[in-house]
Amino acid sequence: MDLLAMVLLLVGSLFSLTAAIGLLRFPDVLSRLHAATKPQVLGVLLVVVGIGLRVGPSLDLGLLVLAGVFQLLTLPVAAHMVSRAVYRSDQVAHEHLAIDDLSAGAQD
Amino acid sequence: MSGLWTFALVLVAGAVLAAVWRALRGPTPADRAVAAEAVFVASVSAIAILSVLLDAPLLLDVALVAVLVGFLTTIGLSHFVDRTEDRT
Repeated sequence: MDLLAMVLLLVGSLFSLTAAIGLLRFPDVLSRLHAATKPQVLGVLLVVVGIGLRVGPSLDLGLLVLAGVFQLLTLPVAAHMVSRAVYRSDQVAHEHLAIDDLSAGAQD
Repeated sequence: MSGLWTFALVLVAGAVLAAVWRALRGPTPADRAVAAEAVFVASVSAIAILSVLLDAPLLLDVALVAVLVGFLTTIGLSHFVDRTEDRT
């Protein structure tokens, strides 16, 4: 059980670090958003589960579950709001897009 | 055993520092908003790991608050991103 907690903790923090490196290396806002949200939330969830295995059933476990659930619920909404603002104010690097489903030509 | 926890904390702290660097560099307000979000998410992990290392369960409340504050921050910054350019 302790070994499993360690593995989850290390994998989760590696995911966080990978996400941050992607945030530094990727060329435009939308790809940085992709790097900053998806691996990041998986990293937080793995870390939270790892700590939860270590803590065991208690009041603290409830707080951890709450933090994980709120992170899982709020991060996609926040990322959606940022990407929507970026698209609406036309800050998208169009040369990096393969398909633009939101452009006028793509709408039926 | 606690060495591995410290190592994980160092990894997450590196993630926080990289995101802070992106927030400082920009170049657009949208990049800063994304980076601020990443800073908050990574620091939630850091605070949770720290609560185990210091044996201070109260820090988990701080982590929960950081999740919600990070969400509100990103929503607010996204409105700012939308307003910085004049729309046609």
